Amino acid sequence: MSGEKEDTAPRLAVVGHPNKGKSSLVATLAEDDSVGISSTPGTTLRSRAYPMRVDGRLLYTLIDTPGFQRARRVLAWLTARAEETGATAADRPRLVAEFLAEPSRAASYPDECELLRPLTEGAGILYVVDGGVPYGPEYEAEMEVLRWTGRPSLAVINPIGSRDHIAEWEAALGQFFRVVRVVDALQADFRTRRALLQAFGEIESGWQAPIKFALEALDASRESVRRGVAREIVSLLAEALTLQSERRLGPDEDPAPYAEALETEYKATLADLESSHRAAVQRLYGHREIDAQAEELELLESDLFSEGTWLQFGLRRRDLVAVGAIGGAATGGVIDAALGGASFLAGSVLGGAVGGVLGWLGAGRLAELSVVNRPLGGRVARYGPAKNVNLAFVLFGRVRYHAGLLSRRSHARRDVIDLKEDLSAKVTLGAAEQRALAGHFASLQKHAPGSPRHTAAVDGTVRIAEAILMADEVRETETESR
Amino acid sequence: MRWGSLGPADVLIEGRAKPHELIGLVLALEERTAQPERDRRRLDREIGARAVEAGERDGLAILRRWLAEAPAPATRERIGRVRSSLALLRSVMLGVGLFLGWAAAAALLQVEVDAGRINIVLCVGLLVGLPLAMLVTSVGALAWANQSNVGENASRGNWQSAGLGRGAMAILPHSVRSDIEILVGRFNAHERLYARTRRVQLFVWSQAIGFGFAVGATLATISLVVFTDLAFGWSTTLDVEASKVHALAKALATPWSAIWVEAVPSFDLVETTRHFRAGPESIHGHVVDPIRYGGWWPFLVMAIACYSLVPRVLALGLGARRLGEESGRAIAHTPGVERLLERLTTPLVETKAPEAEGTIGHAGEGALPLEDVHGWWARQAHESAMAIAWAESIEDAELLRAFAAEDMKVRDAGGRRTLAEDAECITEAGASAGAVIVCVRAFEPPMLEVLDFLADLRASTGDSRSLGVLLLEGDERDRATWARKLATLGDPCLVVLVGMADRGAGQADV
Repeated sequence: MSGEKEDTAPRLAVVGHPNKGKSSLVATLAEDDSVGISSTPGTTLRSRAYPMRVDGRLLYTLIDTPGFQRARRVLAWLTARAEETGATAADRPRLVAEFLAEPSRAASYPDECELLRPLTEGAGILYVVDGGVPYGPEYEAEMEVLRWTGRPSLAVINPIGSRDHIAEWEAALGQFFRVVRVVDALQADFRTRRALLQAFGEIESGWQAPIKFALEALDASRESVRRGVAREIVSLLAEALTLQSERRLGPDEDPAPYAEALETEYKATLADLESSHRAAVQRLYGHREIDAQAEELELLESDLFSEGTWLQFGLRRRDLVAVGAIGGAATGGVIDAALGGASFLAGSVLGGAVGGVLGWLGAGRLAELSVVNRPLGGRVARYGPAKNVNLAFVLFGRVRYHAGLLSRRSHARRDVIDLKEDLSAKVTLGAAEQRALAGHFASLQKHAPGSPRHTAAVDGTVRIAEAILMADEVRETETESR
Repeated sequence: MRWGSLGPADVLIEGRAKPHELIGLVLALEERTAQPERDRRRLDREIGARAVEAGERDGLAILRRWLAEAPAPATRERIGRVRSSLALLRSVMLGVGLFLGWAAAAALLQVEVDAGRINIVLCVGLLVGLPLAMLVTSVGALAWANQSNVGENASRGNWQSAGLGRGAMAILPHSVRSDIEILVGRFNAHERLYARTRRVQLFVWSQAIGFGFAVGATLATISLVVFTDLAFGWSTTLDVEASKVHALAKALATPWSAIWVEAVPSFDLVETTRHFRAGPESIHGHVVDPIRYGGWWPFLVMAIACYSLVPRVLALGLGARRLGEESGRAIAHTPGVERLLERLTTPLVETKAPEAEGTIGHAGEGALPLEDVHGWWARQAHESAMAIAWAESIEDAELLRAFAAEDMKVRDAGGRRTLAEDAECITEAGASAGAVIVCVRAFEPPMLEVLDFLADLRASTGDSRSLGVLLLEGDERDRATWARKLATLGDPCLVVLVGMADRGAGQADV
């Protein structure tokens, strides 16, 4: 990393009135849920830098600053000083620096010093206002002070309240800033954040290249996260589908008394497994502080084995029949192939029918208790592995839903969100996806890791999961933009 | 200006690896797991970036670089020990085979020498036929096990493999044995993944023994031929004609018949070296030249070389190749490797603040009570009362006058007004005698500028004058914020007023 590049990397100071969502915007853009955000004005006392680095190379820095507190006084001093010294417009940035150079300023104007200092050191301006409240003349002094710094600027209207004053804000801000964007810091998804970053590159010549590279890196990182989530899904399924609980039996011991305990142990392990993978997905999306905050996660906290969960996330019975039929038909196909077609595809048809019936019958059961003889002697009572293909679909649906929540959740969110939207659209799978996944799930359960079929199932499931996660993100963005 | 490269998009783990690389990777991954995620990500990507700069695009090559650079010295030492132990095991297996081959050939030939004559059929059977049969069995067993995808207990269930495994462990030094035992435990936990690799490793070791055996047997035979007087012959109780034995020997000698004619037994040799325990020393009435009995040795040596040594060399080579493939496959599917490769090959994007957040500000501990403006106004002296609209908070002053008093003075401060105009307003308020209401829009936060104004106003009006801050618009939370912030002024005669119906920005209602 060269010092020259560090010096030329864009810096953007996020400035504005207190309590207008500056820290929220920074938390969203920096994907940092540790940023202190409060409804109380004046929460941010010191500037805080959020450098964006790719492989250690600085590409840009966001600087969260305290809000203006005494803008008119600052402007009055600057105006008086300009008149006193006969300064021209070109001297204005120097006058701002002069204002900050006075040692007593830090005590009298701590907030202004904190927010103006990055600007005199070369940072651009990202001015944030609340589009949910009407425009007021008290903003003009601070916008004028910012203009005196001579730094490239862009304004963001962050609609916090329920009322819409965006139009009047756009009209007012347009007089001070060349680029004005509307971004809801609490709802901004990845694409919105990306668009705002792109705008950064437009406000100063020389910033385009680093911002462009930053965007490419963010895209690659996002893709990597999706791939990571897809792998978590596969890893969960591979473990869940082969999970079994065992208890050693005496030579003539009856396994029946252990059935309930084994089933309970099996379910508890399965729930723990899901929980640990969910935590991994949360880490992949960079959310660390949403535990017990988001009501929307309640749906996932509900019992994995409840009827409601299975109705919500599992396949419908007729879909299960179709999925079962596919598995059966595949087996039948092997028979056809072995007979060199002499069976006139009877194997496929019969296999499909048998598989369909099994799919129907298997829809209600999770796993079975069996007694297994050990190769080296001894017997065990075994519960599992899962017999019900719907378990894989339920787990898949739940992780997908969870990932969807996290992918669009802004890192600025500290609130509890009411979940009233229709879930069905988010966990639906197309018939082709159901069929392909059913085949892969069967292979994950049946074949050893590393075997060609297992590898193909892993790759296939990852591909499908990635595509679904991507489609979910796009759909959410489109829904929100509408 | 070029800002950097993101590296290859799709990196696959394909190709052959060494078993010690697989074991080393497992050990190094274990060490990495103990590190904080952030450090892990950064350190791994640094290595990955160097690999990208060096033009490495192959997953195994990148993993090898990681294995060479990432582990701590202690782990690197452990990996080195495993590597040298595997090399030692290979040498030991070879040595054991060499010894066994030499001992078997020497013992067999010596026993036969002591018996008077060496039965060439027995020699070929024991030194060539038996090893060849064992080779075919082990190749067949390996092929069957891999084909049928035998997983759990497959290698443990095979007595040959189990015995070989136990023997190998006994050879190792204690420090390496404990490492291997840990690994074996982990490999058992992922039995289905590592079973094939382990089977092929045991196969390679068994081929090393077989190869050593063939070399030992060849060398022992040659040395006995050179330094001893060996008399070969053949005999059978069955009524077998010499021509049939000759045909068989000739068929066996086909591979080397073109390059070494002397190693192909002639009919005369076969016929003359037939031995009958109860018969005379001569065949067909004439005495056999003793040197003829040594004529079998080229055939024996070539049979061992061709049917024992060469197949073992081939099996060893193919086994080593398969071991490389299986090790590569096992590496690709070892838990954690995919994520490691992802860390190595995708850019490390950091956007968070490197330092923890400093002190967070707060609006004060206490809060002033909110008082209804109508009740408060009723208690005030209405004469010469004054209202100040802060930052154009009141667009229509008449509405305020209608609520308060017809002749109420309404002045503006803050917002677009200059500080001088604020000062004039304060002076005017100081000069009047009645209560002063400062109207603010509650949805805007209480900034220090307002507090400065209120402090100056108080200084101008004196401590006892009624001073009210009327909160217009805003919600509960806004009003609470103002009440807390105004309490920080410590003004006992300052009240926070609410109760004006909200009819939109800047509209006051009675």
